[in-house]
Amino acid sequence: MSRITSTLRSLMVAAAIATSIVFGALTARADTLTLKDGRTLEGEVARELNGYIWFKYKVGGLETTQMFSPAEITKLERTTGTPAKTDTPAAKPSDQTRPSDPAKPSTRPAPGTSAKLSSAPRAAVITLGEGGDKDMVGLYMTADAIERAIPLLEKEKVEIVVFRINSGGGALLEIQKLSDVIELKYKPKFRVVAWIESAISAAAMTAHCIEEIYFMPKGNYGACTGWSGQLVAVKGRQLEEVLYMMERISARGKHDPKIMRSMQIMDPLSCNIDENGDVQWFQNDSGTFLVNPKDRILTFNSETASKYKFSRGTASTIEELGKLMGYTELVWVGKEVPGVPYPICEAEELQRQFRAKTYMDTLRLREYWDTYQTNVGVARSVPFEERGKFVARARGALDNIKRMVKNNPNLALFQFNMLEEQFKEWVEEREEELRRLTRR
Amino acid sequence: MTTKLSNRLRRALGGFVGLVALAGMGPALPIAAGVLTTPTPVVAQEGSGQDALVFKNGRRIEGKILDETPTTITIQFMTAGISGTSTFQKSEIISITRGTGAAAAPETPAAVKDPVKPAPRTAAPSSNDPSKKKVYIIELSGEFGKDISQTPIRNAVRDAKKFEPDYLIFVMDNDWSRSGGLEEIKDDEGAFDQLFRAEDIAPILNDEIPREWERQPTVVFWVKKAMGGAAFLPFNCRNIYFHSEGKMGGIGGLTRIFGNMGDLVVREKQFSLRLGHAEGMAIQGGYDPRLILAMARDEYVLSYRLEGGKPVYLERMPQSPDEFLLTDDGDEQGGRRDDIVALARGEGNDCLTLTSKVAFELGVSKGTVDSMDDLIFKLGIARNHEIIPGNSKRIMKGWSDGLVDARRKLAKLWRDFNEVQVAAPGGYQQRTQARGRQRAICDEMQTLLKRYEEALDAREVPCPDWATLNIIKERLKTEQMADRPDRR
Repeated sequence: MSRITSTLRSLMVAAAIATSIVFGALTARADTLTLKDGRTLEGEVARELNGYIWFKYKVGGLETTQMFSPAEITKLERTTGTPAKTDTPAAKPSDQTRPSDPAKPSTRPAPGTSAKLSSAPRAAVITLGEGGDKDMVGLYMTADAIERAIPLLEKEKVEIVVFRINSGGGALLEIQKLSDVIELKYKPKFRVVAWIESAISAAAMTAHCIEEIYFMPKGNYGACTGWSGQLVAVKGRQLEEVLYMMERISARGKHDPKIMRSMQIMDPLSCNIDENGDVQWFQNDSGTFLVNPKDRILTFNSETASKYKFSRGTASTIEELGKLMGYTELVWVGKEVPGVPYPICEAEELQRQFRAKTYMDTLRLREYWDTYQTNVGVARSVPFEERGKFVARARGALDNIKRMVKNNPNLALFQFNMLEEQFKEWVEEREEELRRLTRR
Repeated sequence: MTTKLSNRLRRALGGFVGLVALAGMGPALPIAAGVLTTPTPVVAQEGSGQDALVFKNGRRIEGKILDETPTTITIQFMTAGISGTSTFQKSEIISITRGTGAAAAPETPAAVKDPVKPAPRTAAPSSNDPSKKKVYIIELSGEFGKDISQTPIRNAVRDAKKFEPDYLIFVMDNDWSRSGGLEEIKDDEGAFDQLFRAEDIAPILNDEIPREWERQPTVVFWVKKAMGGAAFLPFNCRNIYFHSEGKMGGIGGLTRIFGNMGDLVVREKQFSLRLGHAEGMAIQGGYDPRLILAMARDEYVLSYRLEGGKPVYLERMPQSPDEFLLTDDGDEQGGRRDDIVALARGEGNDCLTLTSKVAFELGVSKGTVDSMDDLIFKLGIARNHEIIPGNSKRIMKGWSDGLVDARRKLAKLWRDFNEVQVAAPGGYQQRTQARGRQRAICDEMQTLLKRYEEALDAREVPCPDWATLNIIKERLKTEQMADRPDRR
């Protein structure tokens, strides 16, 4: 009995020690982040990068990690004095809003030199859409493709992801998915920046979950009205759902929801800008600055976006962008490619290949399908001994269709009007059709 | 790149239009060189038989005096292959020499310094004088989006790069007519959506030159006619000059392009996104984006007043004598809709068309010049420049000719495809040959379609598109597999 008591006591002591270690650890990580919007958050600094802080804290009992820019932070108090993983020479909270030395240019390692040797933060450009024929959201700009890029970015030790956006819009149904990947999978790992060449409609709605938005001089952003067919607007409940979705996405990007609303429907928008540069928005024309008159749909250009503090600046080149982002030195990850104004990292190469394949596949889909049908038709009409070569050609065409959807799962919907499962069933039926042709 | 273009032309046109193919073959052909290269500019030549004016600043112009008043003198002359007419104040002139008139006609080769010896067609600069400012000229004429298109412009710019010019001058003079030039398009007829063709071309100016040229040239646009999509291009450039009769516009009536189709909110979205794109071009070049709105939307009101010589824009009607109206709201009930008299004279103000006078006042244009010589003068390099005899004319013309030939050839090839007959005796071998011929024709059509796809309007292409031709080729393959040798 005593032995049992003794054993129990030992266990209780051990448990108490373990508990104190756990609590000790928690106490050690209870940092306090005071924000300029008046909030004070208790939690843990999960990651730091040049004054940007990824802060892990609990909301309603659920743990969440959110990134805060230097401009949003009043102060950070560390109770333990043990900083979390710091990716660059630690920036003091008080220094976090200090602009970088504008005289010192961002660095871009010369071709052939090892970027790995530099201690400067590592940034990569990922293009979302490339204009022209390869810009549709949902087809050339997909959640699946950018999610596949994450391991490659991690492999190249990228810390800052710049989404360079050039798209005239596309499918409404892809917006939430893209937003979720950026919000839930990119933001916890990287400092995420949008650099706008052209973000129209669904492209702007995608970028809207990003806090840090920069423009190119020719940049445009807006015109987010949903429509279909002969310029028929999305209406009724579906419109309300899209408006609500964009309110939530605006909150992710910390943009006033009134801005996006005026991009979606013909609501006026005006604002006041106070002496601190803070902007107060109004969904009417009562503000000092009329940003969008009634009966119009809002599209920002680089001047208006900057004037009304929607963008954080305008940059023509990655060097200018680096400076605007507050870096005196930055390593742009990737290979220099003639004709491309930024180095191409592996994740970007993936996007380019993805778009190129998608483009060729959409161009040739009719050919794949016609080849399948023609050869199945001929195979049925010739003697059994001669069927093999036609079945093989039909199978080749079907393989092209399967490969096409593997590269871009959204093509099942956009080209075949089928959900993923339906497409799988359809493929199985075609394969069975070919098998039957090879049986006597 | 020039060689690449020549090769492309040769491949495409080989044996079909020999003359064009030869003209595109480059330096080895003196005949083509003599015909197509840019002539050297007119410079002072004693005893040339032309009239000559010598100015107080030392500049000398030769040509034909057309008119003379007690205070002015008007002279026609030729420079860089471009004929110009300018009127000068006599107070600026220190001497007037009357020539015999025999050789004064600027249209004749006599106006060229040495009409026999063609300008060199090598990549090397024509002069080794390092103090001279090198000027390369690219003339943009013909139909915007077709003749004026990204491929030939890119090739011309690449040709220019080889000479490292100090000045790269684009002469914008697009064809703003329909029915092959029979009918001039009016200023108030907008072609706003040509914007997207301008967007294909603009990166050459905004991205490629800054990125690819080690020594940055001063890019200049000289606007003779920049109407429709062509109006957007000069906005990408900080140095615009106008011809006295120059105009820049033809992008009005944006809100009418969809008629009453669909819902207003979607039409507004469409207008908004287009304006967003176009304003971006103006901002890129350093111009006020409100000018784009004034040029595009009928109901937009824009006035201005000058403060310190610079325009201050006002989005309302003028309220004082020092304020000037650019565009009113075109309200019909308010009597502000342009009437036929104003429209016939090109004086409507529902949408803005920039003329040389207005463009200069607004600071869009840095000056009004009627000749290349005057432009050179305005650029401050009149006494210290040389015009580079580059290949831009040949490149631009080669593209235009190739495009015309491609349309004709595509029609012919499609006819040939449909007329392919199985030769007698119609056996397996003849059937195979016929299919082979059809496949070869498809390949040829696809090559042409790819080469000119940026400028070919799908509606006017007289054959199936590239993807359909692929289907046809695959069917021919299947047919061939299904066919079998005849049994004897």
